[in-house]
Amino acid sequence: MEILRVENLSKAFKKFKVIDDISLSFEKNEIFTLMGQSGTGKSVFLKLVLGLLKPDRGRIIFQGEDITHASDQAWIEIRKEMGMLFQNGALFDSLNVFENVSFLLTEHLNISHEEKVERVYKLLMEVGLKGIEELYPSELSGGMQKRVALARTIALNPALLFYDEPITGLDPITAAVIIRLIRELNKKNKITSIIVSHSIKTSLEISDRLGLLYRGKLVALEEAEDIKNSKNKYLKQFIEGSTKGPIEVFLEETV
Amino acid sequence: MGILKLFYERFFNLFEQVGNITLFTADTFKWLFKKPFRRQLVVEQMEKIGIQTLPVALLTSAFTGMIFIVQLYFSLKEFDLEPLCPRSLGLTLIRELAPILSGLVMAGRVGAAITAEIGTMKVTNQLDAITIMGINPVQYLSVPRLIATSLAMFGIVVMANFVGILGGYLVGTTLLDLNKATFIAETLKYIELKDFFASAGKGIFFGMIISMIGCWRGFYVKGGSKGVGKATMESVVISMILILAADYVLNLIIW
Repeated sequence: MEILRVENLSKAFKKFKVIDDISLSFEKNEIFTLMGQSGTGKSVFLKLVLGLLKPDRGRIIFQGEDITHASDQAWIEIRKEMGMLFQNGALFDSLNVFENVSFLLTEHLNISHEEKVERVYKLLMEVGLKGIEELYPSELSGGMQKRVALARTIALNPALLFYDEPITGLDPITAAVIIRLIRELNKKNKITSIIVSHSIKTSLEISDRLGLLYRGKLVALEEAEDIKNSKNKYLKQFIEGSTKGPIEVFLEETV
Repeated sequence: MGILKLFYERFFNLFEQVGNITLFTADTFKWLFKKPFRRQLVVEQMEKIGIQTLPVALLTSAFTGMIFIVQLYFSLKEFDLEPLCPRSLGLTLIRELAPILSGLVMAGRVGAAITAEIGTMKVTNQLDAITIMGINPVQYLSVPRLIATSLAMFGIVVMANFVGILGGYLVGTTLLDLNKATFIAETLKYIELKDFFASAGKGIFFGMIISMIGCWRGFYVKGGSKGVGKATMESVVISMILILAADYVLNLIIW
């Protein structure tokens, strides 16, 4: 069953096309990874789908409803069904861990303090953390910040979760923890996950389907199990990390 | 040709900025009357603003009153007009100096702090995070600051009026030979209720200017930490210029 669909989505900054006529649909409860080099429009794609940027052309359909030109007030309701884990976590640095995780509960639910405390503890346990409620983001490691941010993001149990480079900058063990968490959330909470990443290893390990962006165009779309035998030249070059192929690489001459 | 082009660009840029500030202010006022009303955030901001501004504003006002009475005394004594000192001090402080000086102090401390805080939130994706959580960032950040800064300025100006006159009274009656009873009687005789309301009204208006400029520059920061520094400096300069210009216009309207 489809949860999100984009049709002919396009976005340009001045004359530079960042997203160029992308059509793609996402199934409920799947893990989809959008891969691509840096600067190919992955983050812009996320911002378009989340309504942070307006597309120049195309449609966005979420849970059967066209939300492309939704009003600010309508987006407030739509976004309660969505969540996003930012590359840097984007925790509120003036709030402590408890206040960060309870932020959505305070804003959107009318619950007692006791219930809030209970839910925050449960959410932190879900991401494998406890005893850090009083700490501020600056007192946490990068991996812990991401886990706290993840706990905050899933507080309202969203139907759709976006991850922007979830493991970039993390050590392999912490990265493995985050990957495991994404999988668990997908299975236990039935959350559809759309990941933006340039890490092939992680993408193959975690995803049901993968897409590849190149110069704003979707040049490959495959089931994860078919990736290794794919005949798609873009995909092959990207996976092999080769400089030869349809993906142009500009190398600076060195002396 | 180069100078003309530069002049045209600067002129055009100024109009663009004025338009942006107006739209941002209109947006803030639009959200001011929409639910939910975050009273707790207003109280927190008022505490912060009070602590940051009150001591400096009162100290400035007290010293201004103390210096002003000395200057008045020796200028007017030459013509045997020193009994006019209390009246001149009271009217000048209440009508002009207390609101202006409090406004400038607040622009330097609070305006800068607002821009730095919101600007940092912008460059670390915290503003996007608020938006994605289904909360309007203007309503969440700008509205409480607008209310808190305006109310705080009202209180600070009222207190600055009193402290400024008190400073003048202490110096005038102890170091100079002004009579205590006459000083009080003369001050109260010439200050009308209109002066008091105009003074407090100016304070509220200057508070609005400071919060709107501070928030607006923070929301539209570009270019990382360097951009935050630049925006903070611009916020203070623009606020100070607007306070002085607004004071001139308000004087023409009121008196």
